Amino acid sequence: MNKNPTLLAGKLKGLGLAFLATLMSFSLFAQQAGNISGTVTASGTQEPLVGVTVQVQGTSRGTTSGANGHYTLAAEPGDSLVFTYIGFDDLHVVVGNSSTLNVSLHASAKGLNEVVVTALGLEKSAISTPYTTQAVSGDELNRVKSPNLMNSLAGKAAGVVITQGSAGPGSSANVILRGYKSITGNNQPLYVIDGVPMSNPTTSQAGGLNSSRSADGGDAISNLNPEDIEDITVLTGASAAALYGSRAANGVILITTKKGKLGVSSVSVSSSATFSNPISLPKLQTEYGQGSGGELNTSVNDSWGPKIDNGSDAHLDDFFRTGQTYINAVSVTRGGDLGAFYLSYANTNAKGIVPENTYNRNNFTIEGSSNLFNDKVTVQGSMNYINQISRNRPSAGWYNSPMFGLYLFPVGDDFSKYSGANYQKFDSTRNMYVQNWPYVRNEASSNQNPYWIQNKIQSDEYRSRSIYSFNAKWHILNWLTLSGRVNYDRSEDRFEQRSYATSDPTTVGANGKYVKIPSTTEQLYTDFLLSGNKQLGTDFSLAATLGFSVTQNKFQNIDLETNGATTTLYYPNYFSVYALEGAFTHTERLEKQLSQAVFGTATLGYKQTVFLDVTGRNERSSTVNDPFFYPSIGLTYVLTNTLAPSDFFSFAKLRASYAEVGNALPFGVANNNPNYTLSQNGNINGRGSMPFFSGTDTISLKPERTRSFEFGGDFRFFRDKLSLSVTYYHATTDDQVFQIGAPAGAGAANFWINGGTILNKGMEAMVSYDANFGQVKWSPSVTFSRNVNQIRKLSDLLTADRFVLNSGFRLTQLFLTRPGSETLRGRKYGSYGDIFGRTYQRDDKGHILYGDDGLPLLSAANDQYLGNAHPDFLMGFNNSFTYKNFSLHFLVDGRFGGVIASSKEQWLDFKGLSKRSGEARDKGGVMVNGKLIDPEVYYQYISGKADIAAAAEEYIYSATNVRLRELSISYAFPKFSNVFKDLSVSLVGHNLFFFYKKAPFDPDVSISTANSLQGMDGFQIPTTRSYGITLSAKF
Amino acid sequence: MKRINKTACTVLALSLLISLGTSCTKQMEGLNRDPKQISDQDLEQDANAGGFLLPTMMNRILSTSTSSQTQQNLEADSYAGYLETPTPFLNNENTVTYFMVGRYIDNTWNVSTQGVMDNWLLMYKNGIQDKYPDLYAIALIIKGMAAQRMVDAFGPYPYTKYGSAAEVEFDSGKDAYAAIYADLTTAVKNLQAAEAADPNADQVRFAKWDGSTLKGEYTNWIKLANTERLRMAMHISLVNPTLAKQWAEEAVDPANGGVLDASTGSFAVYAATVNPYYTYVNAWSDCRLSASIQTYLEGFGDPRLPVYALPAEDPELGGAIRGIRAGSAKPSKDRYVNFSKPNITPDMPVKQMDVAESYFLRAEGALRGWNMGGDAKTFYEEGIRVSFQANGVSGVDDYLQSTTTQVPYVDPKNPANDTTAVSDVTVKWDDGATFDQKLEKIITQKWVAMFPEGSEGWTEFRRTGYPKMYPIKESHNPELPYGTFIKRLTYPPAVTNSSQAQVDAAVKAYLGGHDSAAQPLWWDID
Repeated sequence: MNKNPTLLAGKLKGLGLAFLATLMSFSLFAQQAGNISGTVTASGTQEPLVGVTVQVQGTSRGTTSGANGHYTLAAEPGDSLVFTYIGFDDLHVVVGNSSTLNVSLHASAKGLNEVVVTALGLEKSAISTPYTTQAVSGDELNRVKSPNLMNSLAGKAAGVVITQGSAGPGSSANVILRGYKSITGNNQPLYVIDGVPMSNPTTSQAGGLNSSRSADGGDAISNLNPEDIEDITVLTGASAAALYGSRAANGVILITTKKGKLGVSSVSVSSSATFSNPISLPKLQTEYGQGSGGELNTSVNDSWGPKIDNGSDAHLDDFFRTGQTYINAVSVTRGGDLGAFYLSYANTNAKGIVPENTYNRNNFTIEGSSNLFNDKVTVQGSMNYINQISRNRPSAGWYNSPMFGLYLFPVGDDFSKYSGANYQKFDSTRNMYVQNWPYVRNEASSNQNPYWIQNKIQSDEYRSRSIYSFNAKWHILNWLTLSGRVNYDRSEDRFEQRSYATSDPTTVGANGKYVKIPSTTEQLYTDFLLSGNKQLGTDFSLAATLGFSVTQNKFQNIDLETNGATTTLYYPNYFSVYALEGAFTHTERLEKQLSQAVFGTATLGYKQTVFLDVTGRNERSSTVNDPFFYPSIGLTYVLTNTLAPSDFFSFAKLRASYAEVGNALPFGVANNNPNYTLSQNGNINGRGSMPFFSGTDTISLKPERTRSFEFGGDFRFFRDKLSLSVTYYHATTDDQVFQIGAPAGAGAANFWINGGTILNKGMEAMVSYDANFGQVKWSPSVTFSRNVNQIRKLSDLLTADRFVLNSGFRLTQLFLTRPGSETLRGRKYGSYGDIFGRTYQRDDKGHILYGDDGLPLLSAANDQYLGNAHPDFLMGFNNSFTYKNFSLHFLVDGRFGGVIASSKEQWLDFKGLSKRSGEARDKGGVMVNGKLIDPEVYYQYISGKADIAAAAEEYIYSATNVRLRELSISYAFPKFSNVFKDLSVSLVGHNLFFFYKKAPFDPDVSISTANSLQGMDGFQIPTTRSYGITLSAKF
Repeated sequence: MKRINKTACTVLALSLLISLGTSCTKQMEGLNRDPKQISDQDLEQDANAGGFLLPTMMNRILSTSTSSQTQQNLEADSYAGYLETPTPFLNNENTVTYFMVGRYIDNTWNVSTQGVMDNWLLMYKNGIQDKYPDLYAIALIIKGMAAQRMVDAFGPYPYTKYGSAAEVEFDSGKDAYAAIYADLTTAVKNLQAAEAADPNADQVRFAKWDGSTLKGEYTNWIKLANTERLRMAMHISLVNPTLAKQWAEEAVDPANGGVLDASTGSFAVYAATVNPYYTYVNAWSDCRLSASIQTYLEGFGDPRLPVYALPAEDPELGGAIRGIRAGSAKPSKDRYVNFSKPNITPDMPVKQMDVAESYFLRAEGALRGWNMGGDAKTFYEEGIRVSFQANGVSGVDDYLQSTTTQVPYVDPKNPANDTTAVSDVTVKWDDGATFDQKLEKIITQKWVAMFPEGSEGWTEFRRTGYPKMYPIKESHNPELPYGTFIKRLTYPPAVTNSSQAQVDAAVKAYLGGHDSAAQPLWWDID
């Protein structure tokens, strides 16, 4: 600690420093005297084991091993010590005369005692679970840090697709387990923290390309401190998640947080600095200047002008700065006779790659537990406080995205006239600074100076979030426990946006624009569980839980803002609610949801070989008209208990399960008589969206229901060195809830309808190996997943061949196609994420047809199938090497198949900025079908002038890519002082390079994490490559 | 004892679980709605349930919000020769150059269909027709006016079966017209009955909902409904002269309450914020004067011109009022952005039907030999006088004697747009003129008076060919080559995506099997 005080002190200011000092004082008291001490290691690897229970047999004296596997215990020679640890055989050792007793434990061959965390935080014997569970340790997650911890999960578990949001540090992550199941509903997994479901509403999303406020506001999971995480368990399948009922249709991510442990005392400090730079910036031509038809015209921002010699695309690189992320965390844990506690603090401080974008987060955690009444009752409580400030998150749409003006800047003009401090100029008439940008008025959208956007369209997003949780467990009998939990999670957000006068005139009035939206999101969760675990005779065992839970959610906000360009502020650049003039926008929302569920689960075991697992849950939710019931059943067979295990075949388990889960309805949609909204002047609007009605009858909307089965096996070979886990799954989601445009004359703008059935089937596999080559240990693992998505049915209530999901994109459309439709063009089923647009007309042999003008002929409508946004399969190759004190980890992550449409490339062609448009001019034209065509004519034609007339086929790119996603090299210092238990330094890198990529941009990022905007590249900020250093120490 | 204690506790805990499981069911009721929005129950008070949807409906005929840009400004306002855009939207390949941009026309369909038809349906389902026949009559008038515009823009429209099933058949334009006319007749009867029962009923029940210039007076709304009936009669005057005459004579029959006049003024609706055209003209710089209206008014020496438009800011035009020719090439927005702005003030209500229209309709009726209660010349000149009065300009007597004609169009930015006048029509009435010459005068003057509401201007241009207009310079629709004019809007994606089968059937039955912008509507015969 004292060796390098500046690094830490520089980042931990004020409160942080004081907090650290307090923690240090705790650690001074953490030394314990005892008669026997030693280290517990794993046999073979000699890795220290942390958390091994050490007990003097026949007494209540005991402890657990701390960091480095060290333990200290009062014991007499002749006492028998029992070492127990999950996944290892128990070890009995009699204490001799030496005060040091080092032991090593053997991994239990069958893993019979291994415990996995399942739904509701229930621990289950791993061999009895009839479904896949994949655990990723906190260390693994923290190896290469990201402000949103979910981004660190990519490639580490099979069947998980993670797409990063586009708003820089603190953006949300789009996490999809086993494919998209719901079309307009939620597809994100349920996050469960220590058994309690977390509400994960995203604060705001890029609403599309036409929206003037479309920055990703981050999600709730990204608020957590990655350092607080013990491990993450991914339950990809419905069976594993069935106990969560209606919120678990998309799988569950179980997060176990770090807690104080009895007999353990340590202080951990980690500090990391990460730097990032944009990758995959567009390539521009720099040979031709402003104008059109080869003629100079400085009033337009097209680059179809004359040949120039001063062209430059340096403004692209110049705009971005090196992003910086500093994460400093400290935690302390201690356990003693009274109980145990865990405290942590972390600060995340980031500067995005675009100017003025910053992100700052503070996480405080306090957790404690104690045993009462002769250890019959355990109480535990925790509190998290998070505050987060994001400033000037870049927008992704056409209106306020800084990328729009930047990428489309004519290369013949000199950007230095408008960059840096030149983004504004003084207007002596108005006596104020105004936007300096000659291209504000653009023919198809607004176009603003990117520096102005970042400096003078200011946004602040404040979040203050508290999570309080309390639970008590009463060991009624040695086989029966009753537990109760209460968890309250409250986020208060405040969004404020200040657009200065002379911002985009189509959305901002003459004196500027002001937006203020305070909002509150709350969840109160309560449950009671009665759990029993009993051996019935010699052969049978039964573990069962009966429970009841209540979840209350509340969201409220007030939105005060100027109304587009039609109202503005009383005085220029005076940003206050006082300043809102005339009929400004003022709305208010209050949404409450209540859900109550009764559930039960039972696992019946026979000779530790066959297990039958059943669950049932009956739920009543305020958003659904009728209660609904979800069952699941699973069967597990441990082969190696009947077949004699051998050195080759050390463990084998087969499993099969069937489950039904659902996705409850969104707030309000099942209400046949919803309340009315009001206009700014008090006029009452009608009802735009209604449950489907047919003149007389209105349907009662049902929650979506996913029926799934899965089977698979877990195998281990060569004394557990090689592990293989394979799962096949088949999940049908019925009663898909869509919002569709109502047919003409039906009497509503949109209908909510139980409109269809989607099938997701596929497989997940994971192979891992532990190899030792002398002192080098190599642990490779490969994850593989493949998902096939099919639209099996669309509602018969309507006759349309397809339902439109998104037609607002000016290049492509997203449709859901009815099976058997001609528009499928030979495919048997359409799938979610199918992209449609204009294609080239072709003859029978597939040759493109041309018109008399020499241009390729395009399909009449923009409704031709172009591809699907989702990958065919994913592979991750995770490796770790350790040699003495060095370790090397790298993760190669591949995404194969799927396409992405690029509106950005379309615009670059249209504006004469694309590299190929310059090359074509060098060659005197585009050679098309033997004819030389004028490049301006050709590229404006195929780009459809950046609109729907485009040959969308031309702008569809393969999303296949293989990249070195993570690399870290760590060195653990040998013990050189009694103060340090551990000290290590790591060099880390993220997104280092692509082994393979065809698209001219990173296809893994999307404009928005919204369902309807997948597979679209627009004007979001580019992805980054990052590298950094992490220091961690334990005392 | 210890044993019993444990058992008792277990039982207690279990009963706690069960009681919690059943106690909360009642809390569910009413949760699934946002209490910050207004409910049907809230609206029971003060009998608001009867009329609360009327303001929104009035605001969605020609929308008083900025959705009217794609609803009408970039289509009918241009086709009528009133307003043009200096903005080369989609590189000038857009609705003003006859290229059917689906997402613009979506709004032409959606604004009134959702804002008027859906809300009428809600009133109907709530039984307003029985509870408040007078308020329902207002809904019928708004519905009729909105639907007439839709039928005149697209042709077949699902009017008679609206809301009776999830997917309903489209009516032919002819059937829709008959049904609209019948609804307007019902509306007039209901309002007359209400007036007869209690002349003050409108001020009690309706005035608070009337955000228009008609001030909540049922007698004014009766006149509006009758003028609408007269308008529809005139639209079918060529295709069904007998029915047209019958409808027109009913509409002007004094027993039915009369038509719009100087006492009522025009029917215009106040916007929630500012007149959206003010936004298009100023904040968005997307809307300027059209060459047609400029050259006619300049030629007539019309004192309404400086009221309708502001002098061009372009120094090349030396302070003249100059419009943009339809279909002009626009290499950039800069070329025409400083041509004349239409003179729209922020608080000006959005005009839906001009007061003078009722006079010119009667003038044409008289010309056609129908009993309009007067002769063509009188109605024609009265129409001009009413329009002068409405615009606050003087000099009408001189104007009525004017014999000057349209001036040529001169475009200093692009001489290729220059063109000689296409019409020799004058203002001064000439009893000796031919039917066609008289019709041209009536329609031309009606067109001048109706400025800038383009929907009716475009319809009458299609029906009569007046006022004569410059061919649009550059058409981006191969079906509408140079010299032809657009005949209708094609069905937008909002309709074809959800109702392809019904659209196909209607196109086959009533539009010659081809959903084309060059396909004349059923009343468009000549």
